[in-house]
Amino acid sequence: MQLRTQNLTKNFGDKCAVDHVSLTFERGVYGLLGPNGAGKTTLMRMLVDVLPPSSGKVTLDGITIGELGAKYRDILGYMPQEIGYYRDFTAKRFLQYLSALKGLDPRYANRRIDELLDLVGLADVKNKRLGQFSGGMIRRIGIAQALLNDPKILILDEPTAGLDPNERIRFRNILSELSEDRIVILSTHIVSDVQSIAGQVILLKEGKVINYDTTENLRRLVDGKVWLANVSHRELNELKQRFPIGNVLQKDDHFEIRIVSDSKPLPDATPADPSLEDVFVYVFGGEEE
Amino acid sequence: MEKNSNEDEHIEKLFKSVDIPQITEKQIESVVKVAADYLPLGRKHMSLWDMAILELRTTSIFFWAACAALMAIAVLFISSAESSFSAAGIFIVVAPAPLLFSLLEIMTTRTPNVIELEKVCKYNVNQLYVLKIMIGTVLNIVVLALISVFSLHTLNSPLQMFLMGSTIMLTIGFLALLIATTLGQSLPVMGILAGWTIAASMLFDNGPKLAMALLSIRFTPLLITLLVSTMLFVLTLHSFSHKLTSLSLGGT
Repeated sequence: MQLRTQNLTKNFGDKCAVDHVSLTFERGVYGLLGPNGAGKTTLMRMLVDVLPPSSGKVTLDGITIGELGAKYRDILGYMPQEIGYYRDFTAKRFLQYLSALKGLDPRYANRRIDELLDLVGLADVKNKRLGQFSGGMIRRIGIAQALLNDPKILILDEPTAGLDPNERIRFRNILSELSEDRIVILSTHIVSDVQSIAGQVILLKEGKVINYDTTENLRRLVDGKVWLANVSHRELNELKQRFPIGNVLQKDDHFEIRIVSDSKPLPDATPADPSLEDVFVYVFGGEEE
Repeated sequence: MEKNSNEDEHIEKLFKSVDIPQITEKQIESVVKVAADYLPLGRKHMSLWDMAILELRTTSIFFWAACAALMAIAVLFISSAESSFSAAGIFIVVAPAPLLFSLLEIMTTRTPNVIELEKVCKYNVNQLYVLKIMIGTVLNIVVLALISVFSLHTLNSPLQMFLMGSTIMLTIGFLALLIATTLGQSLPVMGILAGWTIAASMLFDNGPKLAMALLSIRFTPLLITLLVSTMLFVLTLHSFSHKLTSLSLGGT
């Protein structure tokens, strides 16, 4: 199975949100990383066919997803950034409703819904109305609905936002298991999520793909460029003007900081092992994640 | 022949020499269940009836409560009306309300986020929206029929009143859909509901001649008006369903 985008472009008036993006997805987990406004959500909406591209196309095994229509949606699972729901529905009824819209057999659907509610830790509140759910619980419902039809292509927009650390770990593990025989594409602001589960990472900036590689290869981009240093508050402010700064950790009377720089930024700076977060800082500079 | 029987004996001996374990039904069932997980999912063809049931499920309790309250109040007011003219006035005022409630409900509960989720499902959601409005229309007709039945002794020519009510419902529904399709907001639809209530009340209060003329429209012209309003309503319903599903999603 091969999902491809060819010169995919989306314009909103004068603004180009996605600019001639050509990517190929095969089995595995793909992480979309980029600052706010990079075009991640727009790209995902075009991949799931809810937003028509201004130009270019998305194909599955050579056939455009528009032509495939219901056949494509049959194997698609999608979790949008903002989960829409009916406030009066209970969790179970909402999933039953979406199962019916997905054309699932009710007997299969009921079994699957119980499994998924258990998986996302909502089995105890399955008869509670969604209007009473917290943001994190709604996201878990969003994850469950995306998995209802056992999709072969799973597209998740910010799936871990609002989940507590335990839930995030559990969700990451679920995704890793699922990726064995399907295409999983996820966008997230949490770089560590991508680092732990995505085999391939796509870096997006202003609608363009600026890098697309394995996490390992991307880390090599900043090999020998990540430095640890202990600085005072005044030095920190000065360094912020000169270098992209990663983690800042406050110690007793100083700050321990990670600097990404081609050359040694301070005489007493020591080299550190690069992480994907360092790549993000290096590529996107001080831009907001 | 002899060779074959020797072979059979040999196979029999082999079977006897091998210890074949007994497998319980439960074990077979669990293996089949695991295998079933690897088979394509069971799919179900959704009939119009299934879709209608689905749509009824998405309807909020407030909608049902509003319709029930409207019907009860209308029957109460019509029954205690001083004249058949006043009774007809009340009937005309409430005529398009359930359909407009239904339209308001669909526009306020089906947010772009809900539509985004529904659009990635297998079925064409345009059909669902058409069906939802159709349910509202049928419900409105039922409400009008029930009010007519409960107010038989107060209303003059209930059948004609029922046709008049249906024509008004479809005409106001057509206008509401047209505005909803053009502006894509629920507030103007609320305005239409409020505007119609005020205008119809004023007509029966201050312009009895015009109101009388309206009530005295004969059966055939009424039927023709009903047909025309039905056609207009169906056409705008079609474009409304497409407008609602053509998401104006932004985001990056």
